[in-house]
Amino acid sequence: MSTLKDTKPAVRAAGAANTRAARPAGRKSRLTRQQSRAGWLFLAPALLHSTFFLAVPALAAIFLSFTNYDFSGAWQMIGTENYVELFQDTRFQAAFRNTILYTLAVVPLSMGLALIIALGLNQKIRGLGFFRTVYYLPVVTATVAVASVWLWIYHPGAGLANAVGSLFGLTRSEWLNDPATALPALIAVGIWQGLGAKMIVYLAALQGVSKELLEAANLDGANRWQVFRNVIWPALGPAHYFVLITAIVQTFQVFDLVFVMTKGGPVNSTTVLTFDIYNNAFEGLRLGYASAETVIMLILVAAFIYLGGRSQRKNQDG
Amino acid sequence: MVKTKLTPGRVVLYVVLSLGSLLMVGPFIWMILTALKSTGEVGTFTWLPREFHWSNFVEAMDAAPFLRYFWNSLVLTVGQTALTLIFCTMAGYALAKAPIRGAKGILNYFIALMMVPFQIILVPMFLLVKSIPLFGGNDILGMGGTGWLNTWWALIIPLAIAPLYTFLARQFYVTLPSELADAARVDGLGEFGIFFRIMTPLVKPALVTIGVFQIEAAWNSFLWPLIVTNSDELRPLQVGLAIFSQDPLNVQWPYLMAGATLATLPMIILFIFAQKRFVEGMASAGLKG
Amino acid sequence: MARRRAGFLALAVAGTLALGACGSGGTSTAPASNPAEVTGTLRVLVPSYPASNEGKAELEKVVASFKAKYPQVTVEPDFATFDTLNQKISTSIAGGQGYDVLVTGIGWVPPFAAKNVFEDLSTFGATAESLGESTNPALVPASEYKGKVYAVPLIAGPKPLALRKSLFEKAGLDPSKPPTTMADIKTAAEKLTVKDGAGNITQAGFDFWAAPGGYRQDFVALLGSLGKPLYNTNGEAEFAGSEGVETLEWMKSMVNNVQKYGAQNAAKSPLVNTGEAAMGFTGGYIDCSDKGVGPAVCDDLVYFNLEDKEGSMFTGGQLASVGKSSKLKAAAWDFIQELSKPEAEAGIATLNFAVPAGKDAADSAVVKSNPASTFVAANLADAKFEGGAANWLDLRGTFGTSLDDALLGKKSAEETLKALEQQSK
Repeated sequence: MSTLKDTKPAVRAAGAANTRAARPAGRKSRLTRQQSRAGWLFLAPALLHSTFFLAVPALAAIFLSFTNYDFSGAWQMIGTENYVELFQDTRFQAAFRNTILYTLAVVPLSMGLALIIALGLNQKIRGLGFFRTVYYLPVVTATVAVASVWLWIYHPGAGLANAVGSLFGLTRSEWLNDPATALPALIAVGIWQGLGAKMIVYLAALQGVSKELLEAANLDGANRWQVFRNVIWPALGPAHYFVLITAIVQTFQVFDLVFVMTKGGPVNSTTVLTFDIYNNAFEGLRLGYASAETVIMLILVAAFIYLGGRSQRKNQDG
Repeated sequence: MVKTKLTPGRVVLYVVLSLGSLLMVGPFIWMILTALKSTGEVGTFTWLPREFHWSNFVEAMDAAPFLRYFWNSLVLTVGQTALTLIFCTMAGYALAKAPIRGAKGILNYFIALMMVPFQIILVPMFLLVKSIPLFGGNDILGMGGTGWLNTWWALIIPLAIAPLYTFLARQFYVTLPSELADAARVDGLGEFGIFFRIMTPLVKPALVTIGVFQIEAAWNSFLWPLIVTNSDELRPLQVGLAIFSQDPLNVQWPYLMAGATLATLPMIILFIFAQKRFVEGMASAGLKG
Repeated sequence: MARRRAGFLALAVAGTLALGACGSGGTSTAPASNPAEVTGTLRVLVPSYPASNEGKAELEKVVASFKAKYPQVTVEPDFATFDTLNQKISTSIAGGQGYDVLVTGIGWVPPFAAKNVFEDLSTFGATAESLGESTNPALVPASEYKGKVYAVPLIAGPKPLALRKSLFEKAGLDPSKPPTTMADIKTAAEKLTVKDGAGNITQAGFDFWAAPGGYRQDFVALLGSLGKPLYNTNGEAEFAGSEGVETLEWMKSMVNNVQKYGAQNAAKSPLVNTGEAAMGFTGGYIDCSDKGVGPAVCDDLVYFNLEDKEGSMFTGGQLASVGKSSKLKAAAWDFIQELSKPEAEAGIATLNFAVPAGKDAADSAVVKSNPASTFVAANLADAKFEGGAANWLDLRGTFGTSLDDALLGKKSAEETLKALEQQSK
């Protein structure tokens, strides 16, 4: 791909040169202005689309969070009453806690596993296409089918999980019927389901690792671990960032799994924020209240992304 | 190609991958097997059907105009994917390479928009779509008619060009060196030419990935089409399949699984072809010249 | 620049909400007098009819019959599943495009009536008495809120009890004398529970047919047998008194005794149908053919109901209402009349594996087709419903979860029920 030894400093330098040149307004070169204009043109459709179809509804939701809109026609602004009520709502508290736990568990584990699988499937082994397709299957399998099979696996009496557990001498667990084990059980399913998509992104990114660098490293006599650490890992930076951000966002938004498998039970041990928002919005028909809950959720996600992003800061720019 | 030796490491790899595969493929196999069962058999959980009722597939597809639903999903999917591939790659490239002031901020803006859960913007988005000016009997202020409701516009446009794909595109474009663009500019190529002829071909895995994700999302979309359409002519596949789980207490499992299997097949075939493209690798940029 | 942007955004947000205020509505002419002159589009949301060919054909019959009276009105049916019904209804309300005819479930009437989504049917002369002339009177309370009628029952989905003759005989009990009081059920269930060597229950003595969070319908049935409804017709809670506490404590003594909490098979079907329980709650429809459970199982099942102070059978169902924002209310009411004709109700009942709500339900083919439906149709007088509070849709989730708190011993029965009473509106 490139004849240069390390693309990163070059890219950064070029990028910095461009922005440096862009800043002093009078000194902007015609070329940079032309590029900047083209850039805005390229960006415009997506930007306008997202603003109109996503940002405006999102702002409407934020506005609604300060009202008591409940589909019955007459609504008023009620300031922060929704937020105050939320913090005393036990269902919300449970959802808040469970969502954080779920995310903390699923994101790193599924990212790590996905990377390992991608590395494994990036080699010349037999049946490569078969394995990749198989690991992608959970992404396209109907959620009801997923739920049915996992409910069977987790069945306390006749299920696979307890059968396997007893082989290892573990006592029988009630899994999804026991408030203590229900969330971990769901986490396992979440990890399982999220592997395929992350694997694809990593596989695609692994294609971008410079072949010359790999050859050079191999010629230098580097072992597999050194090759991984010094060539592959840095090249995956932008991919990591993407997978991390999207993993956080999508894990926070887990809904289908909870809806189909546990409906938030038992006793709120698996209820998560999007499920509670759905309940408040469409079962309770309290859209204002649900919007307030969404705002809090957004703040929480943003916090997670910020913290996660900081740990990856140098990888954002590639 | 030299055959790689079967080292112990390799064996472990195969074993681990295979065990994992069993777990990955389990629900999918169950889905197919259940499609072959009779309605009475689904009272208890089983793997193998007593007899193989292949007729379930035909009966399921006969229960409603599924051919039309397949077609609708196809149109919807192609429409959304085309829009996404065009506009998200352009935007991603701009965010990665163009000297735009505030590019970082705009990227964060896109990420922030990704964070908003769909359930909560459902109602405002519905209102917006209903109020598109000059469509569906609306006046210039968007009042009085039904806007884009119950049209292809509502099915294709709002959910296409999602920030997620712009973000993904950007992450791939960012790995490309800018010298390529500089060299091409020197050669007299315009900005769009650089984007289209030089940079984009280098991120084919990204295009494939975006395509796979967007196609899968569009093909499986359920809630939004359910809310914005009410006529059979526009109904896509997943909404069509919902007739089998109309009443949560009396789900028609064999038909539902038969339909779901048939719905999944195109995705799998697509993926089998797509993942081959991952291996093709990127064409050499020819920088040496 | 920033201030301009903020201004635009505020405008957009306010605009979005204002958009909801503009109704679009179909064009219509007003006269209630001559149906043949009424024009417009009647938008109906009837999830009772799946969008399959079969469902569409059934709906067509109703539409054809309706159009004979209203030739110039176009009927526009919309589709939703019961899981997504609320999203459909709420977006339609928010968009100012409410439906003219809506079909919802039992328990939905008070919330939607309180929110002015449903029209008060006394406009058309419907009262509880008049409704009780064509509909089974036992189902009429489900359509009332604060003394007025807001819906017409179309079908009922009861959940009776059933026992397995063979398993009863094996345990030395007489299947022709089913236990109908809570005390008797418990005694029998304890004899019918079979455990394996490790103490795990392999055959439940009594199946609640409930997933975690799903015990509330059983609670309603059991409470009903003691003569109390969940809420009385004024919307006041009646479940927190001594009968409620007795019921909940009885349930607690049964859970993890004769059946493990939340025990279900992976297909979520009634365990008494599959033979995994000797006795328990079951559905109001059973397929006795070889494609279903088979004739042997059907012969082995004996259906019965709870009966202590009163007979009690939990019943769900579907009711049809007129939208309050409708511009074709008279036509909507006539459409509902079409839906509640015996043939139409029978069609809906067949599609939904339920029982028609009309008085002559026992004559319909679907009821006669299987022993479960025959039994429940004959016993509709014992119907007990959930709901009755104006915030029931919101509360029912919490209700289920709170019951679980008590069943798992985390809170006392009294505490739980008192807290739920407080949350009811």
